Amino acid sequence: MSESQTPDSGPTAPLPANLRAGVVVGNPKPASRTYQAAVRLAELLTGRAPDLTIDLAEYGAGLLDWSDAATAGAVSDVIALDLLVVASPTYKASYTGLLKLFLDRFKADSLAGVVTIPLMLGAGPGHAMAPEVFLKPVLTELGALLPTRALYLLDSSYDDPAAYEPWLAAARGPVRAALAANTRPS
Amino acid sequence: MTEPPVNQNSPIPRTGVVVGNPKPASRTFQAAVHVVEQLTGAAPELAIDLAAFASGLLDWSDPAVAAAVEAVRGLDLVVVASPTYKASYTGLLKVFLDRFPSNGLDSVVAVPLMLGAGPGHQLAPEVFLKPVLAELGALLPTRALYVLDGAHDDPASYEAWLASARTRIASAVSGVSGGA
Repeated sequence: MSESQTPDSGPTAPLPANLRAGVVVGNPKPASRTYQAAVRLAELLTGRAPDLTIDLAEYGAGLLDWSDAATAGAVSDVIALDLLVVASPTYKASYTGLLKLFLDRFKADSLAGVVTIPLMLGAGPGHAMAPEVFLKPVLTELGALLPTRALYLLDSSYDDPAAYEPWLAAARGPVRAALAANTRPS
Repeated sequence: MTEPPVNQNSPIPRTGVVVGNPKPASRTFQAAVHVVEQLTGAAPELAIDLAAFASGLLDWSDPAVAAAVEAVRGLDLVVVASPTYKASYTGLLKVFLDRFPSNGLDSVVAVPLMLGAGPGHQLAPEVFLKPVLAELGALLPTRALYVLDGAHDDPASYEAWLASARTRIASAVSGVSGGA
């Protein structure tokens, strides 16, 4: 049997018109390089600024309070996205505790139907596998759709478009196909 | 001047537990204390139950958290314990570990311990928690330990691990504590 693709679900499928994209950033410093990299990545994938930006540096002690309304609101907003970039600097070879505090608030399978990109920044090449090996499995556990490799960027190249290009070249098709196949009614 | 019961030249190790469960005095906490007691025959000298630290954990200048980090760094043996949240250790535990300086667990023998509801996450402490402790420079002479929530108070849950871990731990602790 020959492989076939419907015209609107392949790698060149147009982005859904009502696409909702967002970023979650687990860097203790506000408006960090991690944040800028996550926003840039969302822009490169969709051609416009993300609809939702959750900079966890701004949430403070509410992240430790399991009844905090602002955190619960942020979780609800993230669950409603179609495309999500989850970003962290590399602390102790893995994602930050700040990011994990937020992800721990999500219910089982609550990222089902959300196309999600794990992104980590780090000082050197030695931790390049961290987002694939440590961050992606957490997102898998939450039910996220993960159609691409995770992306690791050097801190020093977060604002260099060339740093994103090889990943983007491989990821655009799978991301578009996953979005096209998974668009939920608005 | 009152001295701690042991010092650098003592064969008696300084032991402690770090517990990253948002609930105080959790099963995770009890399991961590049990492991120390089984390994050393005595209760841990230091018990850091992160549930008690609240918002200071997100304040990078908080002195209580800084003191807890220094206290852990002064141990010979630490059990680092977490329940399984989203297939890995908790954010609560990681925000504490993030406070340690580079190589902050150098010369500390560490045991990664995780509790979980079912057998499916048995490898989580080995695959996810142990690498963080390795990055901190800890000595990790044993396999990580995973205990089912429902069996945390059953001594049998620990026996197989203890049988292979006792000698390795004793040897490593003897090396770092300067004991005979």
